[in-house]
Amino acid sequence: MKEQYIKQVKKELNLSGNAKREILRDLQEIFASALEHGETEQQVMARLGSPKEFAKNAKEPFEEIKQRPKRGKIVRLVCCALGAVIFFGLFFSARLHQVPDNVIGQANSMTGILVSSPLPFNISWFLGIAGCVFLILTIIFAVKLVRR
Amino acid sequence: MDNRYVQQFKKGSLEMILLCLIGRKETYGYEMITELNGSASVLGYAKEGTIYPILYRLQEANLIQCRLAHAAANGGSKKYYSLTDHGKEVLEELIAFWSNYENCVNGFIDSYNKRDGLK
Repeated sequence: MKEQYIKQVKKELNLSGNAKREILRDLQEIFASALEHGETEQQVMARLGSPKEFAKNAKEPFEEIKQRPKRGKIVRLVCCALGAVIFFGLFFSARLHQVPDNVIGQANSMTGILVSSPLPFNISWFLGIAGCVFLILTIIFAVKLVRR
Repeated sequence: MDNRYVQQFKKGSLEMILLCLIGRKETYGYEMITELNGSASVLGYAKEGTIYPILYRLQEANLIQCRLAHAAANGGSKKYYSLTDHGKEVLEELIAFWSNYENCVNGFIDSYNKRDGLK
């Protein structure tokens, strides 16, 4: 009787492993403690209500917990994806519209003026690196969200 | 007298009552239920199905903590609940609020009871 009840509750609990284990362990204790104090399994089951009803009440707090952080995680994912798109967009537009090295102005032919920067590298690469970082974060967060 | 207004009162106060029970001394599920049914009959019959979801929420809010202890008598384990430091603070705040709340509600009740004198 008791085993049947617990089994049915288990079937109704569509939760993560930990939450499910905790509820089922508590249910075992509910029965054990009541029997220890002289109650019968029937009395306990009558008090608990149907397995479906018990499972519904027990899992509610866990569903609330599960939903709360999820919203934050989706926001985080969308922000990173947006960051990746913006930085890659800036990076590619910077690369595309770049004048060839050693050239200044829209001249039809090469001039002798040397264009140089105090930095030994092109700043536009920073945009590319930032884009890559955001892309990697997006992938990590997406994988984490799906795995939950 | 078991209408939905009364249900609302009970629902709101059960968390605090459980915090008081747990704060007094470390306790476990069945003990809380027997205590509620023994001394708080005005609340109605306490059931595991009502108590445990509240305990899960209190635990998630880091107000209570629990430890598992081997229980020879029931052939398994018992979960003993106690208040966290945060739980103690929150309970103190709730108790302070409750007395203000009680005064406030009583004030309205008094003014209602004295309505004839106002005429």
